[in-house]
Amino acid sequence: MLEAISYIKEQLAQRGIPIALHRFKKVVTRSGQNRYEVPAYNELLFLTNAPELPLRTKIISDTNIIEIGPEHAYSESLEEFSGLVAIVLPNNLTVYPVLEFIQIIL
Amino acid sequence: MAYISYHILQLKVESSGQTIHINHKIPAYLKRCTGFLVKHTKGLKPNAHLPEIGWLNLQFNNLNENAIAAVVACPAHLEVNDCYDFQTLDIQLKPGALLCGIYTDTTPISSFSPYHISVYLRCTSLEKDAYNTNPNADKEQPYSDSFYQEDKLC
Repeated sequence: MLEAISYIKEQLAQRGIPIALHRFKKVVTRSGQNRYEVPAYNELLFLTNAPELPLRTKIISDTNIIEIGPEHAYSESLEEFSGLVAIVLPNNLTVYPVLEFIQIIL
Repeated sequence: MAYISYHILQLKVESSGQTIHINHKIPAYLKRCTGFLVKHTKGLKPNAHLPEIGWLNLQFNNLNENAIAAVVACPAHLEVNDCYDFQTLDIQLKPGALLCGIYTDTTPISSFSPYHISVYLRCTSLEKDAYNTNPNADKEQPYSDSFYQEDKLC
């Protein structure tokens, strides 16, 4: 099992990026709203629960864009986002997900 | 004296809304990136100028420097397009570092057909005034600099 915090610390150390603060951040979604925006300027967001998100959920940021597909079901990789992060959910969901990130403030 | 080299990154977009992840190693002999130009090179043939066919975001030096965020346009088919204005950058390149980023297609679906874009990076392969007559210069210069110094002396 990948240990997320260790991985993030190690990777940012390799890139020479100092961390001012790291903490958890949740985006709670609800019916009636399909698009959510999270401003993440001067910070990094690492998505930690990609396997639990509905298929075809899109996460669009200045530095990375993903669409959740079957390949994410068993993936332990951490996707990184920065800038303005937009989350677009597919239509007709029965269960609305909670997106969990590790937020790194630079 | 600096040698100018143009390093070209070509991206092929095959489906509407496609996102291309870029992970490209810039050759180690390139020392500094001084400009960039993004152009549609092949594929789309719109009747009128398309102000936006995609977004490009590039990070230099192993994700350390987020330097390019650009909207890519496409001129009308048969329009004379001889504009080669490089936008200025000033990035010291780490040898062998990765250039990472994304390109996302936003072409209107009615105008879409598979196309290519090219990212031209204007780089210098040596620092300005890197040459000197110091006999110990080889010991003080990193490998790639000394390589070019020998090359010039020959």
